[in-house]
Amino acid sequence: MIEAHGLTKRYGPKTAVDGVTFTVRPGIVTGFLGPNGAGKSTTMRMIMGLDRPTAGTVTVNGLPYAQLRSPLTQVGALLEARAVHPGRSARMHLRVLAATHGLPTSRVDEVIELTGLESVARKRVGGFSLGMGQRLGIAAALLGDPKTLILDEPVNGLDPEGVLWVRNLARYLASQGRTVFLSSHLMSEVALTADHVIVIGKGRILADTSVKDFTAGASRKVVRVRTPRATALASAIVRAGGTATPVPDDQAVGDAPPTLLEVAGLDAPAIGELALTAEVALHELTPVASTLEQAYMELTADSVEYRTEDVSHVGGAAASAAATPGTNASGERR
Amino acid sequence: MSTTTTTFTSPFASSRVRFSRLLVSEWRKLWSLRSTWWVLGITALLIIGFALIFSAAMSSAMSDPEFERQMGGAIHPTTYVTSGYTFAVLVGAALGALTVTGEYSTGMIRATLSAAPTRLPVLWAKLVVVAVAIFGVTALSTAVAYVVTNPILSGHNIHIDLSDGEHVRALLGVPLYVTVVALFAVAVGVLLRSTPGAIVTVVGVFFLVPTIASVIAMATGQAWAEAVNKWLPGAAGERIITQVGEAAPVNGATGPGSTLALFDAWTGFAVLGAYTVVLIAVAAVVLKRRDA
Repeated sequence: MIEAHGLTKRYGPKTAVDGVTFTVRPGIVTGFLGPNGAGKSTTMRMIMGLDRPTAGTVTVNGLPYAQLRSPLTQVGALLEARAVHPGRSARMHLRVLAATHGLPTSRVDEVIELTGLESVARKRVGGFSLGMGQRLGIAAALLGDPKTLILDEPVNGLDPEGVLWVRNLARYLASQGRTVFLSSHLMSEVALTADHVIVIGKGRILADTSVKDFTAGASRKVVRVRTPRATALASAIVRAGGTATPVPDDQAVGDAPPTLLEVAGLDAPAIGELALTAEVALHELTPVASTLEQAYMELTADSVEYRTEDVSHVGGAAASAAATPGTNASGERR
Repeated sequence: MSTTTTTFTSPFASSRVRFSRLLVSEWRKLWSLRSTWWVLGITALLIIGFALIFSAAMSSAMSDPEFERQMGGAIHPTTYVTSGYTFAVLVGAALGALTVTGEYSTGMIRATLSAAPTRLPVLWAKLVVVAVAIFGVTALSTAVAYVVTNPILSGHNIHIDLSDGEHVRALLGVPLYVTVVALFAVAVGVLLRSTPGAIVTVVGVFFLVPTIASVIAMATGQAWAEAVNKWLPGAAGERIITQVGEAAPVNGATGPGSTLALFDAWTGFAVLGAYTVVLIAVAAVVLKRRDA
């Protein structure tokens, strides 16, 4: 169980984490989702007692981290940057950590086996690939067989097999009644691994909900309709029990009346029939299912640290261009 | 998907962090790095090598009876054995700094402080481990230097008297001085977190500044310059190795018969000890408060 109350971290004038309050419960995998620079790692470092909060408190299993008497058996952490001296062997790194708690060497060999590091355990960590380094980090996190696991971007650098392994491991550990808190900047990764998701952007909590609800909320289905007689069609749709919202149209010229509608509550065939009855010509009729990834992008759109300019769009209204699903050619239309 | 109400408890939950365990951990950390073996090897080599070269060079020069008559008594017998300390101390200090800065530069410090979140016991354990390693190696090297130079020196009737307290103090001064400077370097490492920064600082404080200060003090003859020189950590601390009326060999500005005022052996060493304790205290406060 991790409980944060009004947790804040400022570096000079920059606020990295801005009064976040959340609870990470045992028995499930909780995803910590946000773009790079959103405050995920800073939050995790504060949980681990490595960074001192500017304001607020955070406890692990009921106590501030610094008050844990057996921290490695309470919390195992994989922090984003490698926390290993490259001059030591993997096994010696783990033995050094095990020694602080008097954990037996047999436990060191157990976690080496569990993370598949047997063949490189006696080699110096400096020569490890990113994936092996990540496995060693996970081995270190598991060393004390801890009640709570904090994994910062655990699948970074892992091959597909490793990614699958981390997913299954996280779910297995949670099924044993442990608290598993796993950060990622990839919505898809969280959707596949986590039961609950906390979304952070610009240091603030944007969502704290079950992945099921987040997905359900995200997969609203709308139909995009382009017609020169938008107003007439909109009233027909409303009479039929749907909703029609005019949306900004990047193809619009000057002060022309709106031609683009987003319709909810009616499916494409029904709208087509309606248009026929109302004698309205349709220039476009596209069902659009917003994906989880899109929902996440929309949620965090205002809070990404660095934004790539949409180079295809010249002039203003960049936001509307970026938000127009039609510009997305990745086959997410249905 | 469903929330289970099972509470998991680690089978190792009763394994607590203890100071004795941190000592074991730091001891393993120290000896599992190649740099430790290199640094301690070089320290030993400097102490033994300087003693041998200095003794052999003097021995060969003293084959000229005129030189022997003039110089034979000017250099204290213990100086032949201890002469390597001025460089050995810098290498030993590098080890002290590395035990801390090596962790910051690699990120290992986060693993260390996650395992021991009260932080200060980690610093104490590092100080103990560095002290034991450095003292052990420098004491052994000095003993070896004594044994290997003895046949060369006795030929010229130069004898170290191990029943003479002042002689023993000077020999013991090598491990004592190098050890305290290494602890000073641990504190510098905590404060600066950077290996080059810490090593440059230690070389500056214990090598460059005293050399420059003693030259200025000799050249100007001003009381304030002499006082500054006297109170420098290096100039004060190395008094434990040198003999009355004799100056440190490398800060050669003060030759035999010099009039530069310096502390007596134990007072000077206590002054260095006091600087070191203060610096360690500052390092402890900073380590406790700073983000890792």
